[in-house]
Amino acid sequence: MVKLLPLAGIAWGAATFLWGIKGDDPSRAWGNYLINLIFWIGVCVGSVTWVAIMNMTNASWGRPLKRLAEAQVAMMPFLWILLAFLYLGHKKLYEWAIHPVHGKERWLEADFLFGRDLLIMGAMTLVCAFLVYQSVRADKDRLLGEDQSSLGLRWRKQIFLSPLLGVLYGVGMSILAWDLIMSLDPHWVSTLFGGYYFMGSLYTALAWIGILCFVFRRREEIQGKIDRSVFHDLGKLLFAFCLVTGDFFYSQFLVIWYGNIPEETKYVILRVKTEPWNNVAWVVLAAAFGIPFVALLSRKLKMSPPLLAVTALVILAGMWLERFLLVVPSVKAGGQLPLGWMELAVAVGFLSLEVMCLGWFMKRAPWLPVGDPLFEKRWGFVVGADVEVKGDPSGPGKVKGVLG
Amino acid sequence: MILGALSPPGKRYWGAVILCLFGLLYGASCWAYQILTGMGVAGINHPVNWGIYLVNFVFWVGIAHSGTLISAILYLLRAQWRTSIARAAEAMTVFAVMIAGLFPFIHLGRVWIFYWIIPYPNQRDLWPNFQSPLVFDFLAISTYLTVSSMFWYMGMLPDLAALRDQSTGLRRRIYGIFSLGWQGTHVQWRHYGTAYLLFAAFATPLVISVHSVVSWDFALSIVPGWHSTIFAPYFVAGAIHSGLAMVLTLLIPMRGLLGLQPLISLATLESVAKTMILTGLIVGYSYGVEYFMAWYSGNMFEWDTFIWRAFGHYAPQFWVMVVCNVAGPLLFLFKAIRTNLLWLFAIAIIVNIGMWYERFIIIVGSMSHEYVPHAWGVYSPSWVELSIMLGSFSMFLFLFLLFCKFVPPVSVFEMKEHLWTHGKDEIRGREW
Amino acid sequence: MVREKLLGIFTSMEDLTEAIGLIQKKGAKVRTVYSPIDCREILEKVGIKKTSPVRFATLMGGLAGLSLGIGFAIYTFLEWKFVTSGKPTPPAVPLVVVGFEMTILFGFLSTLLCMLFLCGLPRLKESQGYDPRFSKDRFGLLLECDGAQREEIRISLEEAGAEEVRFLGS
Repeated sequence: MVKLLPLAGIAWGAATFLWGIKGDDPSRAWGNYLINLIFWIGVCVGSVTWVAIMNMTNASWGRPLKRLAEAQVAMMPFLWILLAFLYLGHKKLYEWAIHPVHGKERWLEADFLFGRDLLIMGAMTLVCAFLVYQSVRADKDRLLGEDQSSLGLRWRKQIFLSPLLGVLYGVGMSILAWDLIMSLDPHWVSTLFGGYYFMGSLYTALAWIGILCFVFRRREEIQGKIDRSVFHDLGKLLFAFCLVTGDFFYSQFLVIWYGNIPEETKYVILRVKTEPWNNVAWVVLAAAFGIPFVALLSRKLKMSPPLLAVTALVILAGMWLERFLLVVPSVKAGGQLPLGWMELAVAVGFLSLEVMCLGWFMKRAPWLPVGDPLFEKRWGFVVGADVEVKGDPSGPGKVKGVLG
Repeated sequence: MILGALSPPGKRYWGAVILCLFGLLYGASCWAYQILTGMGVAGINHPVNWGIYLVNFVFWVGIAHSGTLISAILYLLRAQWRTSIARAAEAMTVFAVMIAGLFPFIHLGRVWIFYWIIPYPNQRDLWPNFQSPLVFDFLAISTYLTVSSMFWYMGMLPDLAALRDQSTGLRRRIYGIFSLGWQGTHVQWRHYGTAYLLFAAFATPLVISVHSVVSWDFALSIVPGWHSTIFAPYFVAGAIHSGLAMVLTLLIPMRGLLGLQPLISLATLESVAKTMILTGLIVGYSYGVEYFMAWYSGNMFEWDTFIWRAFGHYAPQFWVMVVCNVAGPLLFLFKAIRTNLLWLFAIAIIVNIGMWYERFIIIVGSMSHEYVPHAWGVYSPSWVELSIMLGSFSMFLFLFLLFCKFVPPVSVFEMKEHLWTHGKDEIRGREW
Repeated sequence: MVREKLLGIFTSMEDLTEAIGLIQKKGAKVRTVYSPIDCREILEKVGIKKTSPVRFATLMGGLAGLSLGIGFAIYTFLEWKFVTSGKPTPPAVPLVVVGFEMTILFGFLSTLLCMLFLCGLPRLKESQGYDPRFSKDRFGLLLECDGAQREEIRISLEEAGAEEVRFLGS
């Protein structure tokens, strides 16, 4: 019964969305679709990029949550398909599709734009997949008793792929941000926009990982390794990224406010000063920056999994609204605030898709990264209950391990 | 070994100190000449009102940031490789901020009225404009100078106490005063440990905010090439980039000349090099984004300025900047290069030069080529400006040389803790 | 009952912590532990569990800096309206920077002063029992016990591995 819930969610979201595009305001539906798409691309690619970052910095504190972070790779192929699907609705969203912008006609041209974005998303998906494959394969090999040299080779491959993903993430997400979000107002430019998007996505992804840690921390396969100290470190990193994302936001805001150049301020004034968006702007400021900043100062809160999870939830809600604020005012200039059942349904649909992909992935991979040398250095070889190694080509056999 | 580095220095050391002192005095006398004669002796004029004094200002503030990165940020991230180089890096920070702080004075024609920027009730009935980025600068730089020097000093307290206990006579009295009577009681360590963590927690956002504020000196204008939202992170990354290069430039000779090789390992220097790959990539990304946005925005002034930077009067400096800052550190991807002292030192020097030219291109390049073609003009630094710049480098080296000989260049008590927690009971009997 | 002070000098931390445990069982009180390095275990053994109250000074100082910085800036704007580029007076956006810098400055300075105060620095006189080797590579345990117990305690200290034991009177 519980397993059917995600499917129901996806069905509800899809049905509502299709009903929306057939209705009298297709732009609203497509805008909604775009918000969720960019939100989840950010969370998923950001999540795997966190693994890459932790690999590159030799972070041993984060090893227990490595698999939970890597699990987001499962949603990426779907996101690629959903991005391709966005092509069908681009005329309802992007002004430049109907009235080509002088000077940018070739850059903001649907085929070229979607072509390069799908290429980028595809490249990121592939690199993430390779990285996660090496990681999962190493753990499975370890459980099967493989020797150290092949494990070492897999680790070196991960170390090679991690900076590659890092660079691809920075450049690729920037281009996605310019093409999909910034071009909604094709006359507006902010050099930091790409950076703001990918840093904000890392922040959101970390909050999502925090929630996953909270939900699964007592699971048998985790063997209690995600303990208070992991939450404390997670909380500190979340605090740092709250400051970084806030700083990136402020850098753009201050420069635009100060220069007072109409081409730039138009975008910001619409979102911060005009009804109905200004109220959303205040909520975003509080939820994505204000509340997390104050909450994450407290050591007690960081070390309490439920409280940290609540803070992470507030961050996720705030950042979702932030993406809403970036997209929707350009699609629908004024009037009533378009935040209702349709928005909820499509959001639930995307969330359900992620939950389904997460579940699919975690059934096929060991929950703890036993083949990871940093994990092994700190915790040794973890022995769990006798379980069958699923999908093992050499045939089923009883192996001591930590498969779910 | 560390305290041995403080042993009475030889002739070559004093020779180097005297040389730097001469450079410093030469620079100072040129400044005096400028004050007496007027700002006309500098090359700055319409349209380039900000010349290499400001380039040096930004350069030195940038260098300062790595020191705090290494000592504060890496402390919070629990990166072990920081321990042996933190003290020297912090010293670099403090001296660099002092020198950076001099340049706004040097650039100010009527130096004697500098105090007008300080907010105090006065008979002019004026307050400084807290909206101005120059006032932000004043607040940020003075905060940074205060915080980094106190952070550096507090970090040294236990070691100064050790020096006091192991010396006699006048040296004992001096170290005694500076160590404030530290005795290493458990009560003192308790408060000290917590306070140090809090200092590091304060220093981290300070680093980012100070160079962001400096970048806003430019970004808050509407000059093409300056008015760009990416300036804050771009400058912070660039600052760390140049600062790390300066750390390598100083530490490689220092460890060799003071015999500190066992403490400052090649692995530590390698970690610095790897971090430079990251900062170099961020700087390269920023260059790329600025160019792309200049084209994408359709703003002809912006686009023209960027084309002119690459192919106009300052084209050689531009290409030096790009090659040195981006291509240079990429060589560190090869392990053979980043574990070779000579290559490390050479690339560090190259990055220093490249980063100096980056500030030059940003500041001078934009000012010489703004909106109105009739207002375009070219700037060359005069001998006075170059002399003062030479004086600033001499002063930096002078202070750093003194630091090496009178203060433990490596944090002794942190190294002991490091060894102790790694199960090596090597402190006893070891000559520190 | 005459209270006597003893000083045990140790060469390793393990010996020191063992000694603390032994003498606490015998009823002696730890006065001061001297150490060349920071060690949380010593604090736990001696019975100090809470983190230092320096944090409160940090919070107070930070808040003071924030309100002073922004308050002062707003005051100057209200007193002499310096209207530039049509910006509002007082402007909210740039004051974030002013508040931020002042928060850090005041927070830092108050932490520093509180720390110095709590550590008793600057200290003008050398305290009883301090040995110059404590800043190099020796640990010291200054304890107080009943006069009758002094030999017993001395034996315990030596058992735990003390290099030297000194009697410091009362």
